[in-house]
Amino acid sequence: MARMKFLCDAERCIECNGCVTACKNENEVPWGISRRRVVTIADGVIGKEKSLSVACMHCSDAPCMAVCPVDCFYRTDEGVVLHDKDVCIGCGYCSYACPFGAPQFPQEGAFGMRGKMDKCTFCAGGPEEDGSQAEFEKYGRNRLAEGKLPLCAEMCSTKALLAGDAAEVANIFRERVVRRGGSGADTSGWNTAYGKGSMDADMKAAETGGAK
Amino acid sequence: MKIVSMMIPLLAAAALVAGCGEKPQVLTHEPGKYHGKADTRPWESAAYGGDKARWESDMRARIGNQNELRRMPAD
Repeated sequence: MARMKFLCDAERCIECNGCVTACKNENEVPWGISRRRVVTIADGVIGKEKSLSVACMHCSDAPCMAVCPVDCFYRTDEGVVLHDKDVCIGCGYCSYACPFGAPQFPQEGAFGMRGKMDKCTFCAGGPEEDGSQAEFEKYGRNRLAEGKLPLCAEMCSTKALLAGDAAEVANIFRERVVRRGGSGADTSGWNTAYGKGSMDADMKAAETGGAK
Repeated sequence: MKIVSMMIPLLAAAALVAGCGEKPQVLTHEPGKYHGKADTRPWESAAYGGDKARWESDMRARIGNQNELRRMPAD
C-alpha cells in the first residue's frame, strides 16, 4: 500500500451531499464544522455546472504542516496528514495556508475565540490509542484501523468520490475516462495537492503493479 | 568598581544575543508514535493484531469495490 489519496470525479458528482452527511454522522462532528463540503462551479449554467466534494486532500507537501508554529501536524506511513489537538493553539495559520479551506475552527468561549483546529483525518483517528473513546471524541472514527475506507467515499452513491491507495484510485479513474471516451479527465485538486504529473505517475505505478 | 563596570556591557551583550539560540523545533514522527503518544499503525489495531498483509488485502478489496466497472459482468 503506497499512499492514501482522495479523488473527486466532477463528471459524476451530483451534489447530493451524501459525503458531507456521512462524514458528520460517522465522526460526530460538532455544529459549525464541515470537514467535507460540496462546492458547485457555474451553478445553474446548463452544460457547465460541475460539483466537487472537497476536504483535506492530505497533500504530499502539505502547506499546513509548513506554516504551523507549534508543529502539531504529522504524516503517517500511509501518507495521511494528521494533527495533535493537544498541541494545536488554534492560531489559524493552517487555514490561511490550505488551498482547499480544509482546517475548521469551532467557535469556543463567550467571545467566539477559535478553538482547536478540526479537519478530515481520512477516517484515521489521531494520536491517541486506536479505537479509544479519547480518539473518537477528539478526532472521530478510526475506520482505517478497522480495514475500511473513509465513509464519505464508501457512501458516495455515484462513486464520484474515490479514496484509497493512489495507484489503484488513479487506475479506477483512468478506466472510467477511457470508457466515456476521454471526457472529464480533469482531476481537480490533484496537481495542487500531490504535485504536477502525479496522476500520470500513479497510473504508471498501477500499470507496473508498483507503488509511487 | 572597575570589574563591575566591565561586567555590565558583557552581561548586556549576553542578554542581547540570548534570543538568538535556536533549538530544533521539528517533531519527528516515528512509525507508531507521535510526540510520545501512541498512534499505532492501522494494522496494529485489535482487528488485525499486526497482520499487515491481511490489512492490505482487505484495503485493496475495499478500494477495488469502488470500481463498479469491474463488478459488472463482462459483455
